[in-house]
This record gives sequence, C-alpha cells and structure tokens, in this order.
Amino acid sequence: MASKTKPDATTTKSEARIGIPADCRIADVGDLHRQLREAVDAPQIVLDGAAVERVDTAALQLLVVFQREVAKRGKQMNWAGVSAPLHDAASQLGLAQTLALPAKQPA
Amino acid sequence: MAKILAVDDSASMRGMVAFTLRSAGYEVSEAENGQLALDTAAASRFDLVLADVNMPVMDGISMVRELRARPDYKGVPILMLTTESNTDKKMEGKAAGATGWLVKPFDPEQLLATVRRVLG
Amino acid sequence: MSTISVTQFHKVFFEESLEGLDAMETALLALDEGGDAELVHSIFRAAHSIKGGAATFGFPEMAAFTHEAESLLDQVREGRRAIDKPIIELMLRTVDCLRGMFERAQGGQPLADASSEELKRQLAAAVGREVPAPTAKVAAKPAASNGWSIKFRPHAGMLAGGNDPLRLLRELAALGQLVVEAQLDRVPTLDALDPSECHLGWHLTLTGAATREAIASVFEWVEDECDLSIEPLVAAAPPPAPAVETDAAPAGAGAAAGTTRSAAASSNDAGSVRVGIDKIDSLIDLVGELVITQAMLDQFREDFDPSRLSMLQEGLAQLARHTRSLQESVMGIRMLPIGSVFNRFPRLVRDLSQKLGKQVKLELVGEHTELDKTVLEKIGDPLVHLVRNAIDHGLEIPEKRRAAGKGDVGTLRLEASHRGGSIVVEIVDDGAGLNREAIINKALQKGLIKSAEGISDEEVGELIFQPGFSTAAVTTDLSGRGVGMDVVRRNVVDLGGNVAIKSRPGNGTTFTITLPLTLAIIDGLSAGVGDECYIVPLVSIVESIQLPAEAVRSVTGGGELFRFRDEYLPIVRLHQQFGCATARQKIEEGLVIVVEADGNRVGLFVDELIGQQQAVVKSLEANYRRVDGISGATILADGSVALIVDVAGIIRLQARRKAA
Repeated sequence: MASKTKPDATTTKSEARIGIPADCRIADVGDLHRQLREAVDAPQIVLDGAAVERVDTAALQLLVVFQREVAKRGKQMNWAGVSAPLHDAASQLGLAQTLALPAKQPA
Repeated sequence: MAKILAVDDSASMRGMVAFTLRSAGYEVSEAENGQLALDTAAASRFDLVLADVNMPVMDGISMVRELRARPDYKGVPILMLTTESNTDKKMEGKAAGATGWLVKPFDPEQLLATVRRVLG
Repeated sequence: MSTISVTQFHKVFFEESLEGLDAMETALLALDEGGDAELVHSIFRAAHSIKGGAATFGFPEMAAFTHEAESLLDQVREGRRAIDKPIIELMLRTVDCLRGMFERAQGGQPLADASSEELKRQLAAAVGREVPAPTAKVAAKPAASNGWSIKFRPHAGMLAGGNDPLRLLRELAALGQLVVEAQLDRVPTLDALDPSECHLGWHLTLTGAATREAIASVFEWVEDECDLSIEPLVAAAPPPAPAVETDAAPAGAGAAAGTTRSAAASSNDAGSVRVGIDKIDSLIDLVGELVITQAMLDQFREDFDPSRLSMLQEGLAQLARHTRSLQESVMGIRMLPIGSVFNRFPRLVRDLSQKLGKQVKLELVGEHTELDKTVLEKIGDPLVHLVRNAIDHGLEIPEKRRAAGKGDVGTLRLEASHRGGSIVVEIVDDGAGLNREAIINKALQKGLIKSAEGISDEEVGELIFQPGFSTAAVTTDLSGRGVGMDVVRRNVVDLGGNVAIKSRPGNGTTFTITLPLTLAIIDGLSAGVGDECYIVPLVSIVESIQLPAEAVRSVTGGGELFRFRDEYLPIVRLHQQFGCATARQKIEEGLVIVVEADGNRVGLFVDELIGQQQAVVKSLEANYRRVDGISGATILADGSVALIVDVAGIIRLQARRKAA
C-alpha cells in the first residue's frame, strides 16, 4: 500500500486547513471524516489534495457530503491543491463541479 | 507494487496464479487454505485476495466472510476462483462479501486482465 | 506474456491429482464400509480440483470426463441421490480411468479412449442425462444501438465489498463516450454519514458501438448489489434486446480450447518432492544459525589470541552441531510418509479377496512413518507382491478358517515403524503359515536341497527366497505374476535393506522388511586394509574382535572359520576380496569385524579400525562400474576415496564360494 501519512489539520481561529492523505480509501477514511467534522464550523476552510495518489468513491462521497454541509452554512471551501488522480476520479464520478475543483493542473 | 494473496489448496493452481502475477511484477503471498489465508492476511494487508472456493480446513466462503469483517479489509477486492458449475457458490460468495469471481479455467492472460481491472 | 505457459505447472498438477485420486479411492472404500457424509465432500473436492485443473492446464477431454463424475457426486452431496454400491463401483472405475488418463497425459498421448468414452456415457446416464447437454449458446443478437441510458444506484454495502463505482465507471468510459451525472439526492448529513456506505447514484449516457452484453459484463459482479437499468437511447431504438443471458456452458466442453498441450514428461523428468513449509522454515532457521556461527568464527581470522581458544572451540562445536542438524533437516526433505504407498492396499485387498472368495480385514499401522523418497518409490512393488502373496497363500477361505477354529475374517496387517536407524515394515497375516511340506517337496524337485532331513523352519522360510523356487504350483500367477520371492528380496536388498520371514504354523506368517532411513548417508565404521580405507555400515556390525591365531581353523577347500558365541563363522579377508597387496596377513595382527545380513554372519578381517563416521554415499556404478562386494564410495575428510562394503553382497559371495 502507498504510504499513509496522517492527514495534517491545522485549525486556527480563522482557517481550518486539511490535508488529504496520499492513500485515501474506504478502509482509512474514518480519520478524514473526523477531521472534516471538526473543521466544518471554521470560518475559512482549505482542503489540500495535492498529495493524493489513490482515492475511491467512499472518499469522494465524504468530500461531497462535507461540501454540502459547508454550503448549508453559507460558507465556501477552497482547494489549496488538487492532484491529478484526485481530479480524474472526481471527474469520472461526475463530482468535480460539486466539489468546485479548480481546472486540472498540468501534471 | 500491489500485494496479492493467492489462496488455493491445489499447488498447481496456486503456482500458476502466483507465478503469473509475480512475472507481472506483483508481490504475491500464498496460502493453501482459508485458515492459513486469514493468518497471512492478519500479518500484513493485501491489495487483492484471490481465493478458491473448495478447500479443506476452511473453505473460501467462510474465509471471505471472516476477512471482510475485518476493518482493514473493508473495500479490499476479494475474488473467488470458481467454476461455472458453481453459480450458487458465486452468489454465496458474494453474500459473504466477495467482490467478484474469476471463472476456472482461466489462462494467465485472463488472470492478469482481471487483476489489472480490479486493481486499476 | 508469452513467457508464461501453463505447461510448466503440469507436473505439479499431475502429482497433486494422483494424490487426489488416491484420496478419492480411500474415501470411496471407506464409504463402501459405511462411512459418513464428510467422505462424500472430500471425494467431491478431489474430483472438482481435478476438473478445474484439467480445464486450466489444457486437458479438455479429462475435464469433460471428470465433469460427469462431479455431477454425479454433486447429486450425492446434495442428498438428491443415495450413495450405493453401484455408484461406488462406478466411481472406483472413474478413479482408475483418470489414473490412465494421467499416465497418457504424462506420455503426451491422447487422453480419451474407447473405455473412457464408455465410462463417461455411463456416468452421464447415472446423472440422468443420456446425452451430454448441448452446449450451443443462444446466439444473442448484437444488440447495439447508438447509445445507452444507464441508471445505476449501488446499495449501501457495495463499497465495503470491494466494488468501487469509480472502477465500474472507468470501465464503461472505455466502451465509448460516457456522460456522467451524479445523483446526490440521498446523501446524508456529515454527522450521519457512515463513510463506508454508498449513498450516491448515477445517470449515465454511453454513446458508441457498445453492446448491451459488454455493458452488462461491467456490472456482472454487482447485479445483486445495485439497482440497475440499461435502456437503449430512445432516438434510434432497435427492438429491446431479449433479456436472455446465456447460461454458462458445462466445463470442459470446448473450454480452454485455445490452450495447447505440449508433450509432457519430455526430458524434464528429474522428479520432484513436495516439501512442507515447516521443513523449509526449519532449514531457514538453521542456515540463520550457521551464518551467526560463521560470523562468530570470523572474528578469529583477524585477531586470534590464544586466550580465546576456548571460545574458538565452542564456536567449532556449535558449527558441528548446526551442520549436523542442517544435514538431518536436508535429508528430511527427501522423507515422505509411507502412507502414500499403503493407500493403494485397501483397493487391492478388496478386489483380490473378492476374487478369491476370502474375507480379509486390512489393518494399516504407522502410515506416518517417513521413508526416503527413492526407497518409497521402489518399495511399492515388493510390498504389493507380499500382500498378494499373503492373501493368496497365507489367508484361508472362510470354511478352512472355521475348521481351524478361527473367525471367518482373516486379518492382514501392514505396519511401519522406526527401529533404531532403520525403518521396519511388517506384513503380518493370521493365516495358515508356511506349508512346510509343499515347500520342501518343491525344493527337492527343483534340486535346491538334496534331502528334507534336518531342515529347520528358518531354512524352509529361506527356501522361498531362492532363485528358481517359485513356480505356478506353489505361487499362482495371481500373486506371482511370474515374479518370485527372490526378486522381492533382490529389490529390497538393492535398497540397502533385507527381508526376513517367520512362520507360525496354523497361526500365520510375518514378513519383515528392514530398510535404511536414507540411501544418501550412512553411519559407518572405517577400517584400514593395506593402504586402503573401507567403510562398513554400522547397521550390519555385530562386534569387532581380535582373534588369536589358534582360534582360526582352516577347512578343506581353503576357507577359514572361527568360533563366535555358539556358532562357527567364515572369515572373509578383505585384502583378498579386494586385492590389497600391502595388508596384514596374520590374523592376530589385525581385527575381525563380525557382520550380519539377511540373518547370516561372517567375520571381515581388516588391518585396523580407524573410526566411526558418516559417509555420503556416491554411486560407484555411476562413476566407475559395479564391483562385487562394494555398494558405493565416499569421499573422506582428507579428500581421498573410501569404498563402502556391501555386507549382504559379501555374504552372498562367500556362500557361493562355499557351494563351489
């Protein structure tokens, strides 16, 4: 399995920054779920998906649910980075727009 | 490279599967029945498990059921190696948590195609 | 991938299948005696494995044949049919037929023949299908349209089961132009979400030439795990394709047609051994120990200080210990349980006793006793011969047994055990014992003995091992198959063992086969004769003694005898036997090693004893030529060659000299 780095989350009073791990799949999304629940009320939310190598439907569904939760609160989530695998997977599942992914970055 | 666990009581079938997959660059561990497979799968996490159905000590279906119940193996593809005559077994295997199946007889190319399909 | 060919697995497939057939046969015979349902499962499992392997490894005829047997077994397994004598008989014939197929497969010959085809028909008829079901597939119309509308909603558990919609959608995208619209109407709140459950759905539009079948095959594994509809795009809709999925064809029928069979058993027939993982693990452990010891000893290379002598000695002792263990473990790899040979007897005994109208109970003891693979392969025929012999001659028909005050059912016991450095296999029957009268008459008639007077029971027993003894009158072709007991003994002796017989008149006969644990290494005593060194196998040695000159008596004809305990033994001077010029001549200056083989003893005269050692046996025949009285050669620690004395051979030579 690809290396599993702990998602690093830094929550300051103004900004919650969440890094999505390289291997982000169903067996390990529990951690990310917990972090997202903690971050949902932060005034500024930044997701960093630059490190993502492997991702599955479970992980993307979690991000979609989070995005909707954030939107419900009238806020916006921003992407600090989106890796190609993350972008491809989201597009394939028809979720890229919902997740407000920036246009695909050159690999 | 992805790690694969090949479970079959038949040494020739297991040998063919393991050899084919290793030749394609996968890291392969072998087990000759369900119980040994569970032990091996506990020691390290595999990206794919290929399991025969009819085996002594512990059959493939019981093995799938136990393996799938482990949090580590949530979502990990587990394929049953089965024969056509076992249509019921396919469904029984699915109900136990198998991802899919590979129908015997298969040749090395079919095996690799299926493994690549599952591992992406 | 052309480098991967299934043919390289043929050998393993053959081996495990033959083992499977043995297991099937054993289980069938146990069922015949009223065994339980678990037996049926194990029989089914064996047949099933053979079928799967045969189809995979390119033997479609065998797969098709086994398929019929499997179907019948399946009916039994599922309780749709009771197991009865005719089915057991049919299955036993199936086992035999498959063995024949494997034999032909190993020879690269066509597998099916008239008898296998006939048996296949009988199996099919028993299943209730006179003709194998036609395998023609319904040619599904290529139900193409210019596109498909697919509605796909996974059930909650699909993700955990390993089927990721992401993969399925990627596969669909590979079939044409895919437009994806995710359905988010059922997603829960962040707090309520179980992230391992799936709450998404998709509406998909696939345009291109993809057929319905191609799309359905993408979803093949998840039919039970999702709601799915596949509809042609409305615009140019052809009539809806029939929702007929063709049934899978029976295995073997045309299966693996693309796989070619190579002529197996070509040059690559060096034989292989299947080794248990535990044995391999212990080898790896030992090698690990050796590496540690080596590292320890390595310290002394750079820096040796006499004060560390004891450490060096300890290291060397450790090295010796580990080397010995490693040797034992490596030898252990060649050791296989004798059960694989014993397994063929239940069937043999059943068939033979039925044919002869005798009732025989077979007892197998010590099946787990391990023997060297080579010994194991060669001991089968002698054992078969002795078992046939016991049923044919030893055990009586029920009337005779009753008349002798015994039960109707005779007992035949095969027992293997370790005894010292040897393996002992006993074939014990509770029949009538040897017919002394008939044997003596036959021996007289054959000129093997001159008179019946004073012949002990042991000597009578020995007579049946004499070449030329067996004839149809005493040994029917049933037990003999034209081969006499002399051949049995010769075969066993060739393996470094021997056969002895003990008869209990009215109560039965016991044949005792003694075999060496391994052929590759022997424990021996090395003895000097002139400039040469000879190894005498320890197992043959009774005692070594020094004789005063007056203890030896010359006999007419040039032989020498000496008194040992209460018998006179001939002396064999090894220097004469093997022509060593510089050896000691006087009896009192050398030593006599009393050796025994096949119940006979002689004294070997040598110069001196050098010491006890293990000898790795090298074939003299393979490296030089056969020499009478020598069973092989070995290489000594100093690099010189020593010859290993063939005690049984020397005793035979001595007996021949005496007779001449």
